[in-house]
Amino acid sequence: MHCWAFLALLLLPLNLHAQVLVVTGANNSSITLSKNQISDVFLGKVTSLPDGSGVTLVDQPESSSLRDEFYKKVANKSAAQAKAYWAKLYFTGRGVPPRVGKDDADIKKILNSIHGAVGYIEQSALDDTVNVICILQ
Amino acid sequence: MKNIVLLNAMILMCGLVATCCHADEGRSGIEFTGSGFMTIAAGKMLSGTNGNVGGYNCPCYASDYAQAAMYDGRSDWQWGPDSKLGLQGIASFDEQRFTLTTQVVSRGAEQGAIDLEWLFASYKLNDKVTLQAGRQRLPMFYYSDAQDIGFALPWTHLPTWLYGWQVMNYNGASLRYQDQIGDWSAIAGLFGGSEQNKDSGYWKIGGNGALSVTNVNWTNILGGNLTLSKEWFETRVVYIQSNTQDQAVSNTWDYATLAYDIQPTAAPVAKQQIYGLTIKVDYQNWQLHNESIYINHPGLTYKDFAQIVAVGYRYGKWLPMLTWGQYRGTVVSDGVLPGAPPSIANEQQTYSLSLRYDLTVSSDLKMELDFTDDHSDPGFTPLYGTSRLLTLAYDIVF
Repeated sequence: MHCWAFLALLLLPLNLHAQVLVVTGANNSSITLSKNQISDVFLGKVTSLPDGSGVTLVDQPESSSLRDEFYKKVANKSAAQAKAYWAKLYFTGRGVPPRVGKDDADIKKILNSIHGAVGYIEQSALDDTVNVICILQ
Repeated sequence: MKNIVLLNAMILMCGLVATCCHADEGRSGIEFTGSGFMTIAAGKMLSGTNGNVGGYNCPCYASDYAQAAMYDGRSDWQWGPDSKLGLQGIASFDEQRFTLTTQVVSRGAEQGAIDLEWLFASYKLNDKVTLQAGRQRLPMFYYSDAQDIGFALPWTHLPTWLYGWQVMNYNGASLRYQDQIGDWSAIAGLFGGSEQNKDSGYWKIGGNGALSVTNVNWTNILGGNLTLSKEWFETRVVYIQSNTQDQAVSNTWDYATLAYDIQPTAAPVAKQQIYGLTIKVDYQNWQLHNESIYINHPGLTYKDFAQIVAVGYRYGKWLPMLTWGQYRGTVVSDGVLPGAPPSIANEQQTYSLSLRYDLTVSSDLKMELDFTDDHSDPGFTPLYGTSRLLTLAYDIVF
């Protein structure tokens, strides 16, 4: 699987099955992360962005099928497996699990209120309030 | 315990002072978060070697040595050994740069008694380096940090022959460094401190008897660990050294008279060196976990070695897994038993079949069959023989 640039979205047919877009807030500076880097960040293996700045992660709610799809695509884990991984870190004070947004709109709001926040949304939720840093297929 | 509370109060005060004197604007306020985990588990002994071993009505299976959690030969379902409830609170200051973490656990193996598992302060020097001080988990094994969190494990209980040991926590300080090196994620740690484990669960099962009281002291603990991971591969090495002393206080079991007839004594202070290696593979739907530990006791004539190999295949929400675990140690008989050989081997093996089903994102159901065989030399005590155990578990984090 590869991480595609934002402009590739314009070239893709709209009738493809839903893609997962990894995004930051529009007010954040441009960040580039590979799929492996996104996996490391969302599994707590790395706690800072390539430029050295801290990162705040934002997850979809547990009831969202997109959450399962995201972890499957980025780390080949189910959402439950990812949570089990975080439980191992969180309950030992070794890491802070991702914040959880209520839905795509709430996640975009969070991304624009915290510098260095990274989350993921459905393609249909894309607008000019977020920057796409990776497309997961 | 009083000294630990006082130490952490001092650390908290230092953190508050540091926060007040920090030059950044807009960083104030305390954030409190609470969370918890729970396992409800039941086990049934299907078959095994009958007998009174150290006051236990066997066949027996030790699911957690440190907590003296033992499934014995009673015919009904047993709910105590693996059931537990843990609550954790975190107070965060300065946008989580400084945190105070406390966790208490109530265990069925201890009739619901509440233990303070850890109480430590963390300070992030920067995004890569974290300093922690207080009561923490000793990172002897890969799953040491998560050993009470059933939801984080593929088994109903950790493989006994590897994870069963005398000391699980320590009071001291640790330094953790986390970084990306090329395509590798790296986490390195240094730690040091001491631990006084009063009324050790390990020695109740390990030979002194179910009602025995043995205190275990580990002093001058010093160690380091390194975890490297890249995509589907992860490896971990650990080294720990310390002084150890086991002090039998009362009720030491005599395997000849089947009663607490032995006068309790204190063993001399000894040194130990612990070496651990873990290799984990999580490739597509396959999971492999190989972990081993070797303990050298300089100046003494016995060594310990334990390992597990676990292979699992993830099929949707299901995770079946086959695990083989082994412990091998030798004990010098020192002539106490007439006619006994100069050294006696203690060797245990268990094959485990486990099945995990992810019920929700935060909970799971598990079933596990453990087939244990005791390959120890005839003169070794305690000799538990074989056991066949079925356990069912429900885990949740909240």
